[in-house]
Amino acid sequence: MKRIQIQFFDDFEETISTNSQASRFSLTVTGLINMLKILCSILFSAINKKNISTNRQNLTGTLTSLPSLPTLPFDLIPEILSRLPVKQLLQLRCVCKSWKSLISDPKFAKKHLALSSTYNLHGLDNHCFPKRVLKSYSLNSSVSIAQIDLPSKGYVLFLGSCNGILCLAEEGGGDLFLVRLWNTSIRKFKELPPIRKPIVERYHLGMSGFGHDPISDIYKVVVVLLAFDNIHNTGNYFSENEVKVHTLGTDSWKSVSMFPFAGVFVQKLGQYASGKINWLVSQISCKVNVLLLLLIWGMSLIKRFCYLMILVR
Amino acid sequence: MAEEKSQASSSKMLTLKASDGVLFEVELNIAKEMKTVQAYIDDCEDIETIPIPNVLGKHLAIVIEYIKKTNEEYDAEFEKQWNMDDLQLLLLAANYLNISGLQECLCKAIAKRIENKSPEYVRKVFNIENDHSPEEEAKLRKEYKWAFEGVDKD
Repeated sequence: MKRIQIQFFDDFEETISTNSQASRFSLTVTGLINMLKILCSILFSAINKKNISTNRQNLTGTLTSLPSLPTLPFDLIPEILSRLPVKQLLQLRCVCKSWKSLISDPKFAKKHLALSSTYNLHGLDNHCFPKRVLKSYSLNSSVSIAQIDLPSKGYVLFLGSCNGILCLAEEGGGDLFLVRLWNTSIRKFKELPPIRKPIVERYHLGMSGFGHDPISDIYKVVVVLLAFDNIHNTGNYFSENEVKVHTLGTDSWKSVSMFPFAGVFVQKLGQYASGKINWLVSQISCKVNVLLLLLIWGMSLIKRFCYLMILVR
Repeated sequence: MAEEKSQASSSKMLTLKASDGVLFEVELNIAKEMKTVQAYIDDCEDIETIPIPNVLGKHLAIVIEYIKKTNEEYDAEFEKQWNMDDLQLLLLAANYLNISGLQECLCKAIAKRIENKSPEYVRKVFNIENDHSPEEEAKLRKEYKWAFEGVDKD
C-alpha cells in the first residue's frame, strides 16, 4: 500500500491510501478519482472566485501562483487569433490596443495566411451599367458572399490573383491603363501607377500575371502589351510586344526584355506557382507541315526568362 | 520485490510532481513528449522526481492522458469535455511543458469557441480590459463597418 500526501494548506493535510494491487505507486483509476474529487472541490471554489481569504493567507508557496482566472500570456494570443476568420479579426482590433497592433502587424498577416485554407471565387461583372461590380463566392455555395461596386468607369480586367489579392486593370482613356490591387478579405484597394501604352491605337493588354516573389518577399505585377498585327489580325497573336513589370512599393513600371519570338497565347492570365508566373503559348509554324510547339514560358519574377519546351505532334 | 522486478523492465518510469504535490508516475517516452521535462532530464540524468511547479495535478493528469491517447479521433472529442477556463489553463500547462501537439489542439479549440463572437464577449473570455478611448473605438468600428454585421449574440 502506498500513501499519497497532498498538501494544500499549512493547517490542512489529507492523506489518501491507495488500495492498489501493484506494489509500486501507479495511477490507478480509483486513486485518480479520489485525488480528483479532493482537488476539484477545492479548485471549484477557487475558480468560482469565492473568498477563501483566511485560508489563502496560509497557502503554501506553490499555490499562491495559482490564478483563479486564467490569463494567457500575450505570445499565445497570435496562435489563437491566426485561426479566426479575417472578418472577425477586423472587429477584434477593438478589444484593446495591443490586439490592434498585433492584428495590423504584417508578420501576423503572414502567419494567418499560412494557416488559411479558405478559397473564394471572384467574378467581374462589367455589364451592370453604369457600375462595374466585383462579386465574391465561397466554393461551397452559389450565393455571393460579397458584392462590391468598383470605382471604375472603364471596362475592368483581371490581371492576376495571389494570396487573396486581386490585380485589376481598366482602360483609363487615352494612353493609360489604370491598375489597382484589391484585398478581398479586408475589402480595400491600392492604386498602382498607371501603365502607359507605347502607341495608343496599336497596343492592348495581352498576357499578365500577379504574384509574390518569395526571395525578395515583394509582390510584383507583369503585363505584356501586344501590338495589333495587321497580317494575322487575331487578338491573341503577338510578335511585337513590350513586357512591363511593377514592383509593389516602387512608383513605376520597368520594361524588361521581350518574349523572344512570336506566338499565340493560349491563356492570358499567368499561373503563379513557386515564385514563377507561367503562360501557355503556342507557336504556329509557317511551313506546310505544321508543327505545333507548346511552350511553357516561365518568367521568373526576378526578371529572367527561362522556358520549357514540350513538342507535341 | 515486485517493485524491483518492474523497474528492471524495459520502460523506465519517472515521477512528476504537480504544483499541489500530486505525484504521477509515467513512462519515460511519455514524459519526453513534454519538452520541458526532456530538458530537465538532459540536464540531470539521474533524476527520478521532476517538479512541475506551474501545473496543478488535475491538469497534469489530463495532459498525461492526452499524450498517451492522442490521435485524430481522440483530439476531436477531447476539447468538448472542458469549459473555457479549463481550456485556457490546459493551454498554459501545455505551453509550460512545451507539448506542441496539445498546444495546437487547444488553440484550435479555443478559436472555435470564440469564432464569430463580439469583441465584448472575447474580452470577457480572456479577461482583457479595453484601453481604447470611446473615440478610438468608434473610429475602428467605422473603418470596417461591414465587418461588424452578422455577429453571434453573446
